[in-house]
Amino acid sequence: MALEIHQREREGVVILELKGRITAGGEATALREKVAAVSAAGPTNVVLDLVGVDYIDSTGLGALVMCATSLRKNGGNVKLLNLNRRNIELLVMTKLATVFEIFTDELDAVSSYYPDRKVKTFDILDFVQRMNKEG
Amino acid sequence: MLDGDVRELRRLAASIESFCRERGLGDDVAFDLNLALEELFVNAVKHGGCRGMESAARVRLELVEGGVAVEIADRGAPFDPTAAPAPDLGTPLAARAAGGLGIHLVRQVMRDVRYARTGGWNRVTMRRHL
Repeated sequence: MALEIHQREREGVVILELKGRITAGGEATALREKVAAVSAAGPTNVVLDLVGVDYIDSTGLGALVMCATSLRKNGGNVKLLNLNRRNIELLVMTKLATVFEIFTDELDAVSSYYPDRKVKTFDILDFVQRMNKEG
Repeated sequence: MLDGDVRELRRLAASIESFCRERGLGDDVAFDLNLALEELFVNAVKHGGCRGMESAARVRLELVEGGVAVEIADRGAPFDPTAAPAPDLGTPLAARAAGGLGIHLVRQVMRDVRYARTGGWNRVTMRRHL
């Protein structure tokens, strides 16, 4: 399935809703190009809503890393929203879970760009402990 | 048989899904099989010289006692994934290269990963425990 990307904005933050797979078959490139396009005008804060993404491979993880580095280099950032359990496990296995902020609520993800707001981030430590118990 | 084209990933994923569905294997098993096989196939296409090659790779899945026995073979340049160095996962984000994580993920989700080079084929066998 090709990666569908729907763009909208909330309180100055670009939300990219992704649906499909982020893999080597061209989808990872599509994501990188989309992020490059939305951030072309200057520093951009992005939330990637991955609720519709059932699968990410190592090329897809590489694309997420490249999106983060290019946005941060330009003074923006990217936060991840609504990852499924297996995709979080991939981030943990590759130690990328510690370099991305992960959220389960869109308002929290958007609010995280506003330092004066209280937000609830995904508890990755708790997730890893549960993963180890189950594993 | 898969041709040397990453667009074959969709066909590979569909085959894995039907294998798992027909045998009542759960989504987690399908996810891991997908992950390992896609990583090795993409490696062969992108780095092993299989790009554009007809019948570049073949995949076999078999339900055995306690798991799924998996074999993927490709006609690319000799490459032993069991000998590939582990990635440095402590590298700061800005210094991380895109990719390079695939073999690491294969090792994480599969067991008994073995490699042989026979008759011009890279042959990787492994097992996903149930």
